[in-house]
Amino acid sequence: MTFNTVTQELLGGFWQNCQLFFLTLIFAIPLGLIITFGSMSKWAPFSFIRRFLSALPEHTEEWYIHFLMSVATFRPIRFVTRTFVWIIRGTPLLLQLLVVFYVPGLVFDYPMTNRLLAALVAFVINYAAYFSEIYRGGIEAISKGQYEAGQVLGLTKTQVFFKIVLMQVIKRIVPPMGNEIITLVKDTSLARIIAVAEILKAAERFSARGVIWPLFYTGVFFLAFCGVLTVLFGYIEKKLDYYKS
Amino acid sequence: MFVLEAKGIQKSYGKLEVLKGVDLSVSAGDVIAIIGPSGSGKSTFLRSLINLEKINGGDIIIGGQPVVTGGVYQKSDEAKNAFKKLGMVFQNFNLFPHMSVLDNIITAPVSVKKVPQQEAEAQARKLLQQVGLLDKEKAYPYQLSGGQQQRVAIARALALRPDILLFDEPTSALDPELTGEVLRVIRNLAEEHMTLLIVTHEMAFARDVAEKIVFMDNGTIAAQGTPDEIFKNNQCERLAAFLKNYNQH
Repeated sequence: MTFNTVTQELLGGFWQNCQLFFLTLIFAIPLGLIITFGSMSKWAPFSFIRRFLSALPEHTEEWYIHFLMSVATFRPIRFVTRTFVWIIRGTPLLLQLLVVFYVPGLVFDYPMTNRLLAALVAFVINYAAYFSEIYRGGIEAISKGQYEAGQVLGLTKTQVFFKIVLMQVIKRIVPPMGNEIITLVKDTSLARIIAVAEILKAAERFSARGVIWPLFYTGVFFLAFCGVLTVLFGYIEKKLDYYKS
Repeated sequence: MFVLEAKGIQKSYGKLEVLKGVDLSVSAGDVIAIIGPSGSGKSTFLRSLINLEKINGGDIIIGGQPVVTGGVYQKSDEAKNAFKKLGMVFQNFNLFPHMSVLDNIITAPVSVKKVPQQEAEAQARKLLQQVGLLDKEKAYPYQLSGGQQQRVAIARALALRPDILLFDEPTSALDPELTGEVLRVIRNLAEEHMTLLIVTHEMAFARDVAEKIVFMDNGTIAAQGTPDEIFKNNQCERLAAFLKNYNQH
C-alpha cells in the first residue's frame, strides 16, 4: 500500500466532494435568494378584513377581534417559506440525505438511481435554506433611508434593489457566507451515508482492510481546500474594503 | 399657478392622527420654512408631499397635475411622474455608502433620466463646485464629514433639476460647527430663486432665509406669515410658547 496509490484513491474520492461542493454552490446561492424573497414577502391577501373591523358592533368579543386581526395580517408566502426553513434547519442534514434518497423509491415507487444527484438535491435544499437566512439578515440591515433616497431620486424598485441594496448586502454577507461555505466543504463527506464514493468512503475501504492511516490523511485534503477558500474570502473582503457603511 | 398645492392633508397611524388637515400652497421661487415642536407632524407633512408617507385624506397637486385627490392616489403615469418634480434632502443624508461622491450624484440622472454618462459627470462636477466639494468627487461618503456628506446629498438632489427641493431637518444630525456650511449652501439656493421647503429647528436661519414661515403644532398649521409676523408680532399663544422655549436654550 504505497503512499501514491492511497493518494490517488483518495483524490478520486475527493473529486466527488468537489463536484458536490461546486454544484451545491451554483444552485443554492440563487435558490437561497428566492427563499429570502419568500420569507420577506409582505403579501397579505386577507388584509381587506381590516376595513370591517371598525364596523364591528361595540360588544364584539375580544377573542373574535384578535382572530380577525390575525387573519388580516396572515402572510401565506412568508408562512410557507419560513416553515420550510424551520424544517430544513431543524432536522439533521444526514436525515435529509436519507429522505431524498429513499423516499422517492419507498413512497412514489420511483427509486433514485443516481446517488450523487440525490446528495446534490439534499445539499442544495439544505444550504439554500441557510443562505436565505444570511441574505435576509443582510437585506434587513440596510437602513430604510437607502430605499427612501432611491425612491425620491426616481429609481424603480428593481433599480433600488440591484444598484443600491444588493451591492451593500454583498459586503455584509461575505463573512457569514465564507463561514457557511467552509462548513459545506466538510459536510460533503456526509454523502457517504447514501454510498456516494466520496473521500471518507474511499478511506474507509482501506481501514476495512486494516490500514488506518489513510482515514486520518483525508484531513489534509479538507485542510488544503479550506485553506484556499480562506485566502479567497480574505481577498474578497479586502476587495470590498474600499467603503464602509 | 402654484408649483405645489396641498389641501386638507390628513394622515393617521391607526388611531393616532398625525396630520389633521394641512393646507399649503407653494409658488415658484418661494422659500418656506416649517417650524414647530417635535411630533407636530412637520416631517410627516413634508414626507407626504414626496410620497414617502401615504396620506389618508386631502389633495396634492404638483405643477398643476393632481396626484392625490380626496386621499386617493391617481394611477396615471403623469401623476406618478409628478413626484419626480420634487427633490428631497434627508436629515441623515442617506448617501449610498458603496458609491463615490460622483457616482452618488450621477446614478439617478443616468439611470432615470438616461442622461449620457459624460454629460452627467460634467453636470455633477458643476454641482460639486456649487457646494464647494469639487476636490471630493472620488471620495466615499465615510471619508467625509457630516457637513460635507449633506452638501453632496444636496448636489445629488439638484442633479435631477427638481422644481422644488424639500429639506427634512437638514442640519439636525450635524455637529454645531458643521451646520454653517450646509446652511450657506441652502442660502445660496434661496438667492438663486430655487423653490425651497425647509423643515428646520434653526430659528435664526429660518428668519433670515425664508420669506414665509409656517408654524405647525399638533398636526395643524397653527400660524403662518412672514418672519416678522412670526417672530415679532405673532398672536398665537402656542407659537409664543414654542419660541419662548427655544430662546431659553
